[in-house]
Amino acid sequence: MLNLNVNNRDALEDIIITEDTILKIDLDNCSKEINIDVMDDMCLEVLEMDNHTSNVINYNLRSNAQVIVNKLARDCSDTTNVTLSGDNASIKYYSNIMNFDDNIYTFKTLHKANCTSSDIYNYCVNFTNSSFKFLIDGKIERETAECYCNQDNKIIDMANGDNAICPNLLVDNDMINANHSAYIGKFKKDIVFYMQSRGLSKRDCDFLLIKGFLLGKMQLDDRTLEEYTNFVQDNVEW
Amino acid sequence: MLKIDDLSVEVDERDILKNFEMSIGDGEIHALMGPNGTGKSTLSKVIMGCPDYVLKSGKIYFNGEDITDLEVDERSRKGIFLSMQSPISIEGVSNSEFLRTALNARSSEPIQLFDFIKMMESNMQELDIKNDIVHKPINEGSSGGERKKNEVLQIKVLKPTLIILDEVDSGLDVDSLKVVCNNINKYREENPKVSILIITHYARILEYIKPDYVHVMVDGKIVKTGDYDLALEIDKTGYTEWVNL
Repeated sequence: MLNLNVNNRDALEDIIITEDTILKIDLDNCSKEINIDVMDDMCLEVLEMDNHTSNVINYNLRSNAQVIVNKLARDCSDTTNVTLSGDNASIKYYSNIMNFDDNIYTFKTLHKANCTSSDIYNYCVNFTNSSFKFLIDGKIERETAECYCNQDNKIIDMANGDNAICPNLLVDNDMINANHSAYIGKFKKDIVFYMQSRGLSKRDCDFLLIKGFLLGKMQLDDRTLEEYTNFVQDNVEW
Repeated sequence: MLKIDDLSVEVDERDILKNFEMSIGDGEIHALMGPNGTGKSTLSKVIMGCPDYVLKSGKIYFNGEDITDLEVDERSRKGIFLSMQSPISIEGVSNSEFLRTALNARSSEPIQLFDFIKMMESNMQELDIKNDIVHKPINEGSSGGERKKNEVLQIKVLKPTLIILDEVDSGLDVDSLKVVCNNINKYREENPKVSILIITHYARILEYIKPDYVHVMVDGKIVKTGDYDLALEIDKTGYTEWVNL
């Protein structure tokens, strides 16, 4: 397994994945365009931690390519474009964002080949009264078949933010499975009551719930989980 | 230990508890029985401090201290534990980090991981709970019985002095009910000053945890108090006599 690191200091060119790879992306206060091309039969695991970014990241997955992205970000106005261009390509994408300023996060998935699969989870915790938007598109072209396109979008509002989720599924083929969901709201009152009834302060409850919401779905080893937990802890403002 | 004085509570502008009075001494076991919708679960949540309910009048005292205005977590740290009728699942929060955080909230010294694991292992064994539960999100994918056992696990770890069991027998098969009740009895034997308030519809659970007092609650008030025989009488005759008062 090849290990690659990308950060602000790198002059980012196209990244071509020709062997199974773990790619660590660590970007801070930047606006870049990154093209990631995953060749036939390759597996790519991306661990991405961003802070104040407005990057454009383009993924192209060729036949049988498998990609999993675990992304944790603060104040993110990125655009992610995923093209599933080869048969049987699949991607699992977990975007988890802590929001404090006005941001728009855009995610576009394009299914261009048969039996492709996209499983996209876009989660955000908005801590302030700022504006946060998810613009989420999934497109399945007419000539493709037996695709799976899933989009799960959630925003937890910790203050009184101006939040919106705009999910679109553009499907031009009957032989597919596509679904999307959107939720904007607070943590449920009965959950907070349950946790507080065991002696946890409101602050402890919020931290555990935020951490669980942002990191709970991601598939991380213990070391990365600790790193991501520290990132949440360092960035949570009360 | 617990004294409830002239408590009136409303929800959505409807009176649920009406000048409710109750007193539970150290080490006493009380059972509160009554038909559906009479205010039993409301009472348990009001004692715990649930903010959904509006207190129109009255006071709640715990060990002589007025706790009427305390937050939920403060009441818990003082020693009150509410075992809920339908324990909820919490996505993304593991039992382990939840309980360690709850324990640390009670102590000035954080509990060491090794001590915590040892404590959990012995308690889980006694409750016949699989070890992997500690790493799983709270109650996620658990059956009703497993959830109730998890509530008792929390009791054994957090060591409250007043335990409120809100329909702990619902959703439990006979074997699980025995395990749950045996563990509660054992905890009480080890901590004789612990008091218990059992909220139930049926006398069945009282065969396993014998109450000192049985109260019948109808329409937001206690209408009759007796001993265990009262529970047996209710099992035979139901609540009709009191509902029609």
